[in-house]
Amino acid sequence: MWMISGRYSLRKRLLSGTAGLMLGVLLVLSAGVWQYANRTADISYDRLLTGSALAIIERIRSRNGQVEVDLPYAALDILSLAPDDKVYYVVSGPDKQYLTGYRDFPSPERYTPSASPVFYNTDYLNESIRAVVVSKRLDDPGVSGWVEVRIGQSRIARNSLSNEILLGEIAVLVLVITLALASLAFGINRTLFPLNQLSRTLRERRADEMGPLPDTDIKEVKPLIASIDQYRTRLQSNLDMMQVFIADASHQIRTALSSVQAQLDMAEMEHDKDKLQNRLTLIRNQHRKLTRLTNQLLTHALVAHRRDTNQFQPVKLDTLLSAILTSEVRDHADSSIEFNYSNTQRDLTIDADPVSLRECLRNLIDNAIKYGPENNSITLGIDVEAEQVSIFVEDEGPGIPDEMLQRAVLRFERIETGKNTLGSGLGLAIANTVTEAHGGQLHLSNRQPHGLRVELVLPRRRI
Amino acid sequence: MSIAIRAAIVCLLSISSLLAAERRIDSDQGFEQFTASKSVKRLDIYSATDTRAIKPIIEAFERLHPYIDVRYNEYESTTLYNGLTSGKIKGADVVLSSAMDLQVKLVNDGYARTLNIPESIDLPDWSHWRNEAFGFTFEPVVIAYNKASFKDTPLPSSHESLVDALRNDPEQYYEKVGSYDIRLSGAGYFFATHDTVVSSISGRILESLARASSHTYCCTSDMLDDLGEGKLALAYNVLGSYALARARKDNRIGVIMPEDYTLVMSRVALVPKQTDNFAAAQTFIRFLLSKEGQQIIASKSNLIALRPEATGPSSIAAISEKRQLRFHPIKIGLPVMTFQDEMKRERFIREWSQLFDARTP
Amino acid sequence: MRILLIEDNTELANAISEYFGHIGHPLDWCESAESAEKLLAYQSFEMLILDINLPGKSGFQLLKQLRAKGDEIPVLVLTARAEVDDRVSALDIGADDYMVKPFDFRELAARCRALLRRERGSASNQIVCGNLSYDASTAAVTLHGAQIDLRHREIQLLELLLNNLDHVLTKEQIADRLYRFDEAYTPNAIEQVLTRLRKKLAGSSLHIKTIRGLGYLAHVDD
Repeated sequence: MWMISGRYSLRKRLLSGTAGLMLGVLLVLSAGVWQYANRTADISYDRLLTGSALAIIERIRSRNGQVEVDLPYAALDILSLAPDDKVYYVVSGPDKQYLTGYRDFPSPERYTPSASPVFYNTDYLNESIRAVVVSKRLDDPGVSGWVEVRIGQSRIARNSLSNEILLGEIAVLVLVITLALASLAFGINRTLFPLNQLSRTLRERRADEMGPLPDTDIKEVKPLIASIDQYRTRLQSNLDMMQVFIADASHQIRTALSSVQAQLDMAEMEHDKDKLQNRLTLIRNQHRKLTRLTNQLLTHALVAHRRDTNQFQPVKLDTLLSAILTSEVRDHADSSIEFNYSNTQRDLTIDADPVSLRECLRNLIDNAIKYGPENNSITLGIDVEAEQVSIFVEDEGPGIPDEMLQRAVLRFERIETGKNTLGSGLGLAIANTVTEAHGGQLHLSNRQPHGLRVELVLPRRRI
Repeated sequence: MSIAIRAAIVCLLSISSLLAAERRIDSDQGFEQFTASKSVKRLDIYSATDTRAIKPIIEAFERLHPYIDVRYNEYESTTLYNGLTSGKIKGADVVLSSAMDLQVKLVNDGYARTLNIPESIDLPDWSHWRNEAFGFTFEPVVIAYNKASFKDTPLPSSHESLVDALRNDPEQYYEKVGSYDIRLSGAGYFFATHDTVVSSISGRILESLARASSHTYCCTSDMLDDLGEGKLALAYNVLGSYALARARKDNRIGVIMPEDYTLVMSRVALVPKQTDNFAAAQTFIRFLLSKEGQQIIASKSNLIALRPEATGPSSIAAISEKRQLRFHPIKIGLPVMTFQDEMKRERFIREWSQLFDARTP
Repeated sequence: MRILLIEDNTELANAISEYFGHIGHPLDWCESAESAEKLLAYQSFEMLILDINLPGKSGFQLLKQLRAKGDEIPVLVLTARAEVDDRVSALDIGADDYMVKPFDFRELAARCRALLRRERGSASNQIVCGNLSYDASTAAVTLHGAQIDLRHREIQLLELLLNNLDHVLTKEQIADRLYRFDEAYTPNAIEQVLTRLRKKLAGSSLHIKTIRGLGYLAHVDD
């Protein structure tokens, strides 16, 4: 039940759980103690009753054919050890003949005369009574049969003894439980100490202080420290890669910007109208490149962000892919590039992030257009298998040299083939990030006779 | 707890106690003012005690509580007991009796109500039972004697010496010893049976008394009368309070408190369940046990006060006269019921009768 | 044509105004959604170029308001937001097209023309696509001002394509319109009609692209 609430305190859970358990134990033990207290009180005061009954029965004699009892002073004296209790008794001779005492004092149900005392509970004169009955066989001339003594006592002393025992025992139990909870609280604090220390260590560290955390001897805390170290190492390597990427990107952007700057400066000095027009065309081309580069960098940041925030939803691939292809065709309607769509599973829906997928595929198609020939033939399509879906973009461009294929997929990898490689590398890096985010793999392969096939192999169910 | 809260609580407590005190005074005054016009509470005391002996106490009580009208009804103790248990005697608010055993039996058999006696009324352990039965007097059981008869003869000072004297000096004692007829007197039966509890020579005492052809009496006063007139030389087991009171007035009579043991009994007060005026009854018993009540018993009545701090002619201090006495108070409690057992009583009286009926007239 | 540009960046707005004036389509410009509301209250425009990221009320809010009132004026949305989601939601709440900054002015002008063409085509019978024009009432087609002879099915196909500019038409959709259900046709037949149409319209501003596996898309490039 504690698991439902989002936050909880380990200390509170342990303490309240234990306290609950202890309370249960206390209840069970109390029931036991209650029984024990009652039994102890009964045993103590039953002894008095027995003593009294035996003292009386001893004094039953037959005299001249008559049964007589000489009630001993001790009989009531013993019972006055329970100083506030009332006492009733009756003595009867053979054939239940009444001899003396309280004539209508009740007897136990189904009593067979016996020399050993039999205890019973009853009510008499509005008092709750604990009573005993003892019998004796008289075999004297003229008189023979069982004589019987019934004597009962009210329960004041009994109850107060059993209450005293009960309260005493419960006080001890409560003390023990309180001590147990206190030592548990102490123990929890001791146990949590390494965690508190760890969080203090982490808090006091500078952000760029990377070495491993101080080791611990506690077996249970070791894995936590190892995990934190591992996480920090991964974070560091990401930061390192980011640094390389930023260096790369700033190099490319600055180069493009200074080239634009140079052309602008030159254009200002130009007086010849045709040459000026040429300069402007150059500036426009440089600027386009820069725009594309900026867009790709931002897109890469976007898909990386979306990967980290897992924005998955059911996506009907046919709708998504045909929309992408339509907008690409519209944007390049005046070209002679041939566009193809290959999809035999028009109803296929997968769990995916549609925004990332769209950005990724547009970049791949843009790459194919940019680096391919004028009469390029570009195909967007899917291959469906039992466990996975491949979304692919094929072109009839130059492809990538085989030895570069593996490295081309790596993030921020510099492919040093020609001038415009960063754009292409970024397109692939975006595709790789998106594929990873979907738990899939990016495959690159060259086609025959020429051309590149980029394939996003995605599992059909999210992992 | 913060100081402020504590202060507030103390404040509340003192205010509430002030209010309570004020209210009590109000109600008392109110009660007294309205007694004239409103009905006066009637308190019926049924008692097996001489009206004369109890009178000063009742008068003091009525002075203190004028709105309570005390009606005092005197009974013989056995009649009172039988009447209460059979339901023939009704309307009692307080029952006073010197028959401790019968009073205890009334409590045991559920005829009495539990009273609330304040802690401040400090009573000896032996003098009360279950907050239902309360002893209010101190009654030594004594031997009274005719001083003239012992001009030349030493006085027996203990039970032991009495037995020896009875045996060895028949001329002095023959037909000159009086004692209770236990068939007629509950008190006499009670004293005789308790001799058997306390003393190992109780059998010999009875035997010697019987042999001395003792006269048997129904009451202490008759024995004291005969002592004064010289018809008796000695009366055994008489009520100390009466004997001492008589001795104060009649110098022919002396009192012996036996040195080996002096039985002490107590008159017992209780409130029966059927009372229709419980508050007044409880007030009366509280008064009976209070310092003031006890002081009146010690100073103005012929009874002897139970509480040792009371002063006066009938206080414990006065009757002890600085002697080392072995008072043996009989505890008000279960064991006194032993001799109320029918069969035991029959047997005891039968044996007693056999001894005393065998006397030569 | 009257176009209202709602854009808070003065440099960009001036450049767009200048460019549109240069190509013969002067436009009106205001800086916020609030002032656009006032203008729209007493003037009528043929289309809006709406920047999303405006001070005060956002472009989205203005667009939503217009559509809620039942105003169907064509709206082209400009967005500079990093979130590419904007593009989708812009279309969802009723934008007719969108462009992401930075954009090519020629492209912007082309998109505007396309929107206006669609708007005007549904209002009158005359559709003008650059150097090509088509009169639906007379079924007359002119290229560079010269009338072109087209067969019945070719005219039907042209009209279908012009009514669905920049949208993909599947072969089935075309067949449904070109052939009655009792007329037998082969997929090849449509391809043949299309080939003839392309040939007769060669040099025109209308491009008809075939997307194998998907269908056909007509685009005007003026």
